[in-house]
Amino acid sequence: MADVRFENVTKIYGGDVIGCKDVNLTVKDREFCVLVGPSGCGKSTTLRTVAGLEEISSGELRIDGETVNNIPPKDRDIAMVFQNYALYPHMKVRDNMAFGLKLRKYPKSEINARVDEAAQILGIGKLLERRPKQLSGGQRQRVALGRAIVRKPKVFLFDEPLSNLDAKLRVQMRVEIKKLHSKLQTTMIYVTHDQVEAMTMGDKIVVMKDGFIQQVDEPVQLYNNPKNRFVAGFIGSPAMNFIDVSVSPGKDSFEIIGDGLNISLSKTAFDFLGNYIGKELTIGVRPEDIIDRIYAQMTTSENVINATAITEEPMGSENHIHANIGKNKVVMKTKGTNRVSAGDELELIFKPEKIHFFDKESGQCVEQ
Amino acid sequence: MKKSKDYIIEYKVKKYLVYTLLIAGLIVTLAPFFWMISTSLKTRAGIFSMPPQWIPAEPTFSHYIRLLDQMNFFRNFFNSTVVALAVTGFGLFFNSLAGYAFAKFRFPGRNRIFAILILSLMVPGQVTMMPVFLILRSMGLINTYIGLIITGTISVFGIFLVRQFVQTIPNDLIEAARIDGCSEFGIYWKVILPLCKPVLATLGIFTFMTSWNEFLWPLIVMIREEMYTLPVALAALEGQHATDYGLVMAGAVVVVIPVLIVFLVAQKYIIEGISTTGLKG
Repeated sequence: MADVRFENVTKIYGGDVIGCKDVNLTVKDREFCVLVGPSGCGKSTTLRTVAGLEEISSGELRIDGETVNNIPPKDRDIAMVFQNYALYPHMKVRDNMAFGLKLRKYPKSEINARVDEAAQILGIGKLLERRPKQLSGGQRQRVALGRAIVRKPKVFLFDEPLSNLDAKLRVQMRVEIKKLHSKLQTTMIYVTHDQVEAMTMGDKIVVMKDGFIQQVDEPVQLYNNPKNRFVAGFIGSPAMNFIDVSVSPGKDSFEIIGDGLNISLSKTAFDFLGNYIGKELTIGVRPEDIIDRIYAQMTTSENVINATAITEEPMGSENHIHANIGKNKVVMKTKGTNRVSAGDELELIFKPEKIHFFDKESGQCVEQ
Repeated sequence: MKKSKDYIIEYKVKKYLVYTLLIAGLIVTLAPFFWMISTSLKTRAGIFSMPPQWIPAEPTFSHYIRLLDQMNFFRNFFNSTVVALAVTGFGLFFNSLAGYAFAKFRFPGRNRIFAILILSLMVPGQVTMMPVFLILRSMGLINTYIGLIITGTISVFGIFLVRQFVQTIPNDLIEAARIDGCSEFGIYWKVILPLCKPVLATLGIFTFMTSWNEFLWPLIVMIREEMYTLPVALAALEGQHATDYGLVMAGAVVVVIPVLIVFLVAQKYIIEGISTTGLKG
């Protein structure tokens, strides 16, 4: 049971390559914290600093209140699950799981009890006498989890543990790891590049890019109120649509004008836009916040945007329609029964309250 | 289109051709060994008889008995065994340790040092014999096992071999062990070494055979006869004017046998090593 605190943690490789910079973050006790971002964003580096596998260039890292900057990995009371499982090929499953305990000189009976308990939790009791080579990917990942569990560490660290599994197994293991978390009630830090994993698993999500933290929030908050354009585009699939616009004042509305679209938004509801008159903004609209007026049988003719369908991706229950608004490409998510062909003329409506506004240059959200 | 029968004939012809070539190669390779064994069992008259006898007309073990008589055979055998085993044991340990360090540790000048080591492979051994001899003499290690063992232990080839192999072991495995609580030496001993078995078997066999067969260097370092290794002692049997071929061949047979045994026992590891090196579990 422990919290993990990062205070201005920075890791610079070889003098000038940034691993992660000025990371300030508190992972609370028993929290499931997910670090997410594209490859090279510093999420793994951040995780590895917790493990002690990377030395921190500057800043302070505390586990359970204790500064661990100079404490070697084995004395940090953490366990890590690796992407490629990192099982010792020459040891049986049982020995793989018991290795850490043996090195810590636990009594044999205690080791066996813990291994059996973990094996039972993970449903790998029958595999204990096998070698890693004889296991499937999913089984290996369970063993890797087991090796972490038996140690009963203060903090679990996961470095993209599901990336090597096939899609179906990944969904299954996702649920299992979450169940494991609620059962063990331990602090977990989980690194993934998959935003779906992040959204479904995390109590708290940390979005990173280029070594910097972009936003720390609960999943739904992150989805609904992204702080900048990067987070907005990274979270959600298909990704948010972005269109460059300018703002000009109307009678009792602001006119949002972009290539192929002209939207009027009421001055009272969008008063903050007053500060951006004549300036360049980027609006962001999630695919599910675009309505096909004709399919939805809406009578309103306000703020209708003309678009041309390019292609569709029918998923069964839903359909992703790709369309052009002027030169802007957008994707909309609609019901599976709403089918189009290339070249169809569409009339789209952006749900006004769901439109996000970003500064075109800085990418920062400007709603507040 | 050819009939299937034609294919079968073609296949058979090819097969016979390949086997004929292989058998011819085998004969060429084995003939000297056979000649060695055969000569060691011939009488003196038989050795020089014309036409040469492939099979001894009157087989005799007299040369083997004289071997025990004329040279301090057991002592020389013991010397060879001690040196070869020690060189192999220490060599496997130190070379794998160095290979592991070069493969997995980042330290200043790592690649440069390794390049220098590799370059040293280009220097013929004869060039360094005198200086090394002088160093050994100044340390008082002439005529000692240690003198032979320490100069034979470190092999750049061995370091290179292990380094190449260890590079294929994922770093995660090392990091997992580090987190699990292994000391740095523990990682080497409990994780890296067991995984290196195939390459260590290969290296071990090569080292043992090289050390066992080594002639020139033991001849230089070992001055007193009771410190001779087998190949040196055997060479000493050759007279200045006349060579007792029966005796020399009997000695050669005895020298070859341990190497043969080691090879037969360990060859499956070599083959296994080569075939599993590139495979990841």
